[in-house]
Amino acid sequence: MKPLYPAFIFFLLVGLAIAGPPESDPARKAESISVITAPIHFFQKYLSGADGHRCPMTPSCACYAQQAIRRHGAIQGWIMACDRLMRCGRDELKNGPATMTRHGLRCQDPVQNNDFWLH
Amino acid sequence: MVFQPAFRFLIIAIGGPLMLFSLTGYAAALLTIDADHQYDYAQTRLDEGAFDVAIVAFNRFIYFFPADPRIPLARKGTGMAQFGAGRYQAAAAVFNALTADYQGSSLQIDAFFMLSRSHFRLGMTEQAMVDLHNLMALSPEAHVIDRACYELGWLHVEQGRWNDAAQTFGQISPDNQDRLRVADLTRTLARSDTIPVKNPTTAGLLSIVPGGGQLYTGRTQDALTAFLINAGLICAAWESFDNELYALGAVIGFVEFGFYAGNIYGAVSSAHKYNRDRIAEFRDALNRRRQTTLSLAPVPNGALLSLTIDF
Repeated sequence: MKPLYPAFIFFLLVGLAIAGPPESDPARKAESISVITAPIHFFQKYLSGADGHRCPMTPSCACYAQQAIRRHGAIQGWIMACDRLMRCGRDELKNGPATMTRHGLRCQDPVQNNDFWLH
Repeated sequence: MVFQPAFRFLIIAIGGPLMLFSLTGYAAALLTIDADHQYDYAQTRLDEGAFDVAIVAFNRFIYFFPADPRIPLARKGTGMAQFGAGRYQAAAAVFNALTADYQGSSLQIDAFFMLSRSHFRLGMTEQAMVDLHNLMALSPEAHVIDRACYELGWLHVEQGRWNDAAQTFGQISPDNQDRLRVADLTRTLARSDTIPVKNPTTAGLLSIVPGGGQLYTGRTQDALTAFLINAGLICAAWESFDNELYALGAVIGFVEFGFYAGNIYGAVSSAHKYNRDRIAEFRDALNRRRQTTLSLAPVPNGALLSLTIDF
């Protein structure tokens, strides 16, 4: 079954490439994005609330993921969110500017700080 | 109510003069604002940073005293107030009109400089450069060209065009080069080759091995995290497929796709951020050389007070 794994990844990537960019119609796009970000919203409302606001960066990783998906669509937003999860609380704390939020001192790392080079 | 004739006379005799006196007093309290008062008020508001009030006051001056010789200055004042208030689009419109209406005057020169600054603040750096080039074409005077070259050089610095900036600063006439510390600026700009840069493509390619790109850009903790997460997820997906847990393998594979691509994206992004930060540091070091400096240093038999201001 091992050869199936690379094949799965290959077909996944081909499928994503064929799917193309998200819908350009603003109403449909907003609707689809709200569906995609629903799990993040669920996490923010029920899990993060119970766990406490512990993300050392602002916006928080969940909020960052929502913003990234809104700005760049589901695929790129998902990739950017994964990138952020790997960076959260590590070298970015030394490089990014600190800012005071209502949850205390946080490292400022907005989506714009990570997609400026795409424009 | 009907008054007796005698009583009516008394009311008129006493009330009439009283009314007249009060009207005269009211007339004496009337304030007449002349052109000087209005202009001084507007200028004071501008100097004190009350930009919105200054705009209203200057416009009132322009409306009520259209023949006053200070009308061009009042128009410039509205532009300066718009600029001070951060309304750069409106300021650019005012200064653009001034460049057309007062050709050949010193006001036109000042308007061109302010037009360039307004365009720069609007993010239209190329247009700001065109404004200065237009000014240099219109005004052959050496001091104007020097000033335009100086501002143009700083616009090149903002764009990160170090060689163009050095070349433009070099066009300033020798008389002004010392005053503007051109030698110091060009010496610093010559060090632009030493700005450390990271190649984003190299960072992306190195991230084929998760964490390689992050290590290249000096982010060791990110590199270790990316390597461990990706290695763990790849192993988990491999084992799932190996144990014929296809659904689990597919889910883990999908998650791993995001983290693997995110690892490459993060490496490229961190290279760009590294370059951006190094360039910003270099630019800040240059900008510190143009700021107003006030220093006090001991010298034999006294102290030397030094104030440095660029025009």
